Amino acid sequence: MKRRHGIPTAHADIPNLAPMVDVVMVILIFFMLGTRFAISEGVLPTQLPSQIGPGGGAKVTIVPAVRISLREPRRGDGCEIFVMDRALSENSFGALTGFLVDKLRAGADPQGQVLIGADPEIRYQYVISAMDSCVRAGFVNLQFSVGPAASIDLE
Amino acid sequence: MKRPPATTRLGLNLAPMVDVMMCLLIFFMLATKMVERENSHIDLPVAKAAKDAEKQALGNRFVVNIRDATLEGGEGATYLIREEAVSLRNVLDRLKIESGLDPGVNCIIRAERDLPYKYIQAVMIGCAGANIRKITFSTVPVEGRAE
Repeated sequence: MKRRHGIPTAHADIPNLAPMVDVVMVILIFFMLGTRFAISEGVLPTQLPSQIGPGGGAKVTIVPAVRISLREPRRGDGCEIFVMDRALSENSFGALTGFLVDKLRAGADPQGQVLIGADPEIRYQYVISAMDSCVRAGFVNLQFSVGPAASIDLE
Repeated sequence: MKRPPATTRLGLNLAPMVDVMMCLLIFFMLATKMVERENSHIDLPVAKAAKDAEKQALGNRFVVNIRDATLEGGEGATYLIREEAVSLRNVLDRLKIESGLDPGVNCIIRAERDLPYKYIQAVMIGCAGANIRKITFSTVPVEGRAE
């Protein structure tokens, strides 16, 4: 039987996927190259006392519940942790957390001020670790003591 | 005489490939997060107790990035505001301007974990001088690089 003219063949209804594949490939490559799997960022918020004033050198009298000092070690790397001017029996931030937890269990107020001071040459990570210990133990009111500004080139 | 077998038309079936590509595309579209311009690539300090930055109401914020200049062959620290390297004096001036515009501004400090504390302390003293009371430290929950 002869095929009649004018009737389209069956396969003519299939959409041509090639242009779509091209576009999807380009978008896919863009996202593959543009994506970076990052670790989500966290924050440690602090609220400084209202007594601070212009000048940055104003002396503020704070009676802290806990005073933490991070000092440069006499030799070697790291830092020495002092609480109320006494060195911790074990010089680690885990021990600091334990000490603070014990302090809270003994009846210390979690809203009490914790004053953190550090030597200028101490690694920033240690200061954050000290803050981390305080927050993990349950203290929420963190303050910083800063001495005279270390000599840093302003320009 | 035997008839030759009927010829079959060979065609490429693109449907499974399109399926897979669409799945990959959707995955990468969902996984991609356009990095904000104010955030530099910095090895932030680790703090397990840190709160998720996205869930915190940080309010009006002023971000100061502090990078280790020695990694780029320099000396000391490099202060960056919106990806632009500025001097410490400039940072302190900007803090005063921001505080003047909004006394409740939140200063977010993003600094390299291995930097000496004095470079961060200088910004904190600047915040005190500018009467900025809210200071927030950016951290990561595990060691690694945040974007």
